Amino acid sequence: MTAIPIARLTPLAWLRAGPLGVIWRSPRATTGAVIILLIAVLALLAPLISSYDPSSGAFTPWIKPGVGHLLGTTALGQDIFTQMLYGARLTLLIGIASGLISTAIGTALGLTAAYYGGRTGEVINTVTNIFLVLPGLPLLIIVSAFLRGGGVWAIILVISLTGWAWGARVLRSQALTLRNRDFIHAAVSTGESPARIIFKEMLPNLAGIIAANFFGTALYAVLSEAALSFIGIGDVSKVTWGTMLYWAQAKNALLQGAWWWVGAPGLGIAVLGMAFAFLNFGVDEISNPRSNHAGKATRVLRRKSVPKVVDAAGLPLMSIQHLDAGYVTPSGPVRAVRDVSLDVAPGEFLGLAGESGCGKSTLAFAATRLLDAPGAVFGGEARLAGQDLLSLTPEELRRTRWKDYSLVFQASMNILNPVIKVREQVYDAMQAHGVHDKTKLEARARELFELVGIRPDYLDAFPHQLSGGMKQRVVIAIALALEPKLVVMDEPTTALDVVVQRQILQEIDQVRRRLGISIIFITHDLSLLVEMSDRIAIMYAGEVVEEAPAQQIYTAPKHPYTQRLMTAFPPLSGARERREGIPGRPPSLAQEIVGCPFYERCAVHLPGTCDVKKPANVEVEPGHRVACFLQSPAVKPAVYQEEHDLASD
Amino acid sequence: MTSPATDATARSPQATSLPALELGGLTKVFVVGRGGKKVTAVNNVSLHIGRGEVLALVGESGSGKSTIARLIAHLHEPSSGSMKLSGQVVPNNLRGAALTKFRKHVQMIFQDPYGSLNGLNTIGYILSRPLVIHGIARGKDIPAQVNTLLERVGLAPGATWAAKKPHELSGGQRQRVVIARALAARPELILADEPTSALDVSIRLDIMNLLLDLKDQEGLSMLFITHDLAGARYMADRVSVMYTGYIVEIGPSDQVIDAPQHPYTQLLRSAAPKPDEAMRPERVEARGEVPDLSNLPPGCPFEPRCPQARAACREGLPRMYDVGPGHQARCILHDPALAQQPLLHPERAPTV
Ligand SMILES: Nc1ncnc2c1ncn2[C@@H]1O[C@H](COP(=O)(O)OP(=O)(O)OP(=O)(O)O)[C@@H](O)[C@H]1O
Ligand SMILES: Nc1ncnc2c1ncn2[C@@H]1O[C@H](COP(=O)(O)OP(=O)(O)OP(=O)(O)O)[C@@H](O)[C@H]1O
Ligand code: SF4
Ligand SMILES: [Mg+2]
Ligand SMILES: [Mg+2]
Repeated sequence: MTAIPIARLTPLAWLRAGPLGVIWRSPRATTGAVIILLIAVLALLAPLISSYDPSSGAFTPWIKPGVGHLLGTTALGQDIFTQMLYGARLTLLIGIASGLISTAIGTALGLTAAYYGGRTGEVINTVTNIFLVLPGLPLLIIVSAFLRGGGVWAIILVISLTGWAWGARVLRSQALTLRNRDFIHAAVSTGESPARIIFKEMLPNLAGIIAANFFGTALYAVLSEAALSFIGIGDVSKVTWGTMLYWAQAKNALLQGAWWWVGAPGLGIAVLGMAFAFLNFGVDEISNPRSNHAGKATRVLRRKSVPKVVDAAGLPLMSIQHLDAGYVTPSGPVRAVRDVSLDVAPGEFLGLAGESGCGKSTLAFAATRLLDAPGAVFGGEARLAGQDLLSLTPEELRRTRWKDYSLVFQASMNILNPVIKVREQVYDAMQAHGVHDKTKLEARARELFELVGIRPDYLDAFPHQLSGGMKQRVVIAIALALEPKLVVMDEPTTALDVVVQRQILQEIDQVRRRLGISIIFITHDLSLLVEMSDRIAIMYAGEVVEEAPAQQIYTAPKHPYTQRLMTAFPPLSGARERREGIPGRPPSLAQEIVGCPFYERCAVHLPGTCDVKKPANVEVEPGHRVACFLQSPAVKPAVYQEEHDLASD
Repeated sequence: MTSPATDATARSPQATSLPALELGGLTKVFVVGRGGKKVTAVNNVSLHIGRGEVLALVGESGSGKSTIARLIAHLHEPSSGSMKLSGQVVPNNLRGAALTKFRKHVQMIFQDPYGSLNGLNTIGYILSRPLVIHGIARGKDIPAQVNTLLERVGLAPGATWAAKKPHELSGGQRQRVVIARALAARPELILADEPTSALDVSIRLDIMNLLLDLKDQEGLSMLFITHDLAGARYMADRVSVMYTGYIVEIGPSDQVIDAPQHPYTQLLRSAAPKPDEAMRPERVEARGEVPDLSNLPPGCPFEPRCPQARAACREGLPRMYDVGPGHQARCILHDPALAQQPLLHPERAPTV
């Protein structure tokens, strides 16, 4: 990776990367920006576009829209098109100025409240809440009644004063989460001054939210101005889209059939409001993504394939053959799983280990048809009890998933809906697969809870009443609900405490022995994996480089990578001596890898061999497979070339 | 160098030299929620860290480990208790210039290398701040100093790395930057709050080795927070074990981890992964949940889960008993008289 020198960015790239970049990354926001720019240009060029005076009533009243007067004339004989052009000036000014002022107030108060917390925070919070609960329009009316005759700036002031609170609230909550981020703690403990922390560290990170807030309040200002002017508070001698509406109403335009007099400013306000709303949503969407993984995990990629079911007798429960999978990105395919073949026997506990980014999760997702776009399966097959999962229709897949196999992820506990009782959520999984009898559901739910070590009374709890460890157990209980043959677990306990982790793993192990289910367990905690697994597969750069019974992987690893990996964590007992990590980093999966993927980091490689040829994955002892030239001279055939071509389409 | 952590007895601070840090009865009470519920996150903690010594702090999630580090770093103000840095009293309510000056001496390393660097700034900028704030370098010296720092943590050539932004670095590289930032102010004490738990196994070892090397080169003292007992054993001269805000055991690493004397430490040890043994389901005995910090049992906080509990355990907080040289445990089993009492929960007693 190389640094991108900021100075060398082209103007267009700067626009995208710069602070306003968010606008160009969201189509909605771009639309909004273009509309507003267009209105602004028309407003600025008003004298060039129209030679009329917006307020002089020099024409015949009530002319219909036509050639001379594009939008007709008013009861006072003014040209409405000209009024629209000039009115846009004040309307935009009011929108933007009020937006700026209230955003500034909201930002300052929100940030201060978040940074200082304590009493300062409480006071600001109370004031904000008071402004939030005060009904907007009546307040506007009362305040502007006092400021009557103050002109446009009085209106701007009034709108800003009533419009800042919502932004302050949003900003405070965002800034509070930011305040608790470690880089802010780090700045504090380095000795940075509060001003610098607020302006240099926090503010830039909130830019998107502040921008969204500005567009939101600008929208509010445009609408408030229209409302105020419409009821005649405001300075009706000035031309704005709002006062146009006021005059149209005062002269009974609609009764006179002069719909255009109401329609033009009305539509103008609506379009401008929409443009601000688009900007607000668009910027908010991008700078404040609420990730929704639970929902995403159901999108799948289906591969067209030939045979569907083969005879399952005598076969492994799960059989992955020459699986190729990865991600399709704008800069080309990332081949995160490269020609992986793996079998899982019935009742077996298979551990899958390897450095972060080596493709463990991609393998698990691809083999179970859970890989999200941009993820894709490029080739190979994955059979569960003889059935090719990769060629199932979505309907067949829905029936198979949970019943034949289920999955548990590290963040699985977040799939629990916080407002629904745990019981309902456990029932749901079973009901979806045809268990409807209430007593059966209840009995099974209790049984499941006991299985994973939670008191059945907790069925009546809401998820937020449970600790992280208990939530994760509930998810495991749901995964076991239909007694699947296979459970895939991707770091299910990594976020949990050691003791809790141990309890859950014991539970899982007992359940598996009792029910005879197979488990694929992914983690990078090797010492744990060695202890738990029957067999372990070690992945490196998308490939399985070694596969053997757990104790053999630990005591007699054959691949140089596994050998380094097994001494790369300190032991709990034995001599306290210095150990070394593995120097270097794995190769990028976005590129073609020539030779053994471990070659560059391997201390014992054979020059002229390891760097030019790929070692084949060979069974060197019964049940022990390795891909290393030190173990076998076999060269891997280039089988997946054609699949790779497929990937780059 | 053969021993990862310098041998406790050979390197322990001479009785004459002052410890780098001394905590006396440090307590932190948080008031949470509208009801004014009080949570005692750190309860009457006294400990010391010798010069050039690594003290590990292990314990359950929520036991108050991070809170201790934040109290020492003055990110929180202690509710009570005292603190001495190199023998000098540090007031609990430090403010302004005195606080900035104090911060030069104590630096933190955080757990998440992704969260602890501001993604909008370059590495160079991030590292220049402590240099500027503490007047260590100015003007033209800054880039040179930044480069030296980067090279000291193994990111050479420094100038290349300084120009990058955090998103261009891997987790391990980021954590090196975080360590470089902590070193910039030339502190005496480093508070490392789970500096390796967000990292990959092999990178974890690199970072631990880096911290050990820096400690030896610069004579740093370190509080090393972790929930990995094997890591604590690798890094630390001494280990302290926390449970619900209390220190329940403290002593030399090999003794505390190889022969734990408090039932909670024993539980922790039995829960730790042990690749040398196959999974034995019956091994971990303590069930139940960690007690609510705002409503602790009157006696030993571990009593509700403890397989060894006796009647005496409910009668008040056990004191710290001496169980070996420089080794203490907060458990009545070390009082020969009380240990005679019958078990409260014979059914929980270990089966093996
Ligand atoms: N959406 C994506 N687009 C492009 N590349 C991706 C995407 N998701 C993952 N990758 C890449 O695919 C590779 C494999 O990722 P994967 O998540 O399978 O690794 P992993 O072994 O599960 O790692 P970890 O231990 O960190 O969970 C990585 O190099 C990653 O950068
Ligand atoms: N700012 C705070 N306000 C209120 N309560 C807090 C605050 N910080 C921590 N706590 C509480 O204090 C207790 C101890 O938290 P702390 O973060 O110190 O635990 P920890 O031992 O570091 O746990 P972990 O291993 O999960 O990091 C927890 O119950 C936590 O909820
Ligand atoms: S094949 Fe060669 S480079 Fe790869 S692990 Fe074996 S010895 Fe090392
Ligand atoms: Mg993963
Ligand atoms: Mg912590």
